Amino acid sequence: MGISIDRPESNREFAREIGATFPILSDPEKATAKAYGVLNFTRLFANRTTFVIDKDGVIQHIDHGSDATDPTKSFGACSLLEHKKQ
Amino acid sequence: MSKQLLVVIAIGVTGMLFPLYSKAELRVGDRAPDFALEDQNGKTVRLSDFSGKKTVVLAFYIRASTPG
Repeated sequence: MGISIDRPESNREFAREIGATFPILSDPEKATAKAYGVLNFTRLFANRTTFVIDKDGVIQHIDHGSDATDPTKSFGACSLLEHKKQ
Repeated sequence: MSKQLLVVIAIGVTGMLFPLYSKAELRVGDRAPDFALEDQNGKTVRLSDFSGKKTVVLAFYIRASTPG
């Protein structure tokens, strides 16, 4: 899922632009960005960060900044979790 | 500007910024905070909806429709 502090209307447009087939979540109150510790100190946006969360709700992998533009490690973490359950 | 005044200003600015950094970063092994947020289709999505069902990849991005 994607998430940003944009309003739902902006994310609706964005989801259309990129043809998203997964949820694009809006966090305009910034409460979730704060809870995850990713709200930029300017409070104008969330820092680019990817969390892989297992079925028990536990964080299993985190990519920060430029690492988060490459999904390889997050996919790897998902794949490991899938193998674990088998 | 006197040195004392600069020190007072520096302490004041640090004090204002500190709350922004005081939130501890989440780490691997921590429980992910639950949320209830609206998706692009107006549907409310909760992290807990996936509990016991699916692995979730939650990708914070900078802003919609920006190169960031």
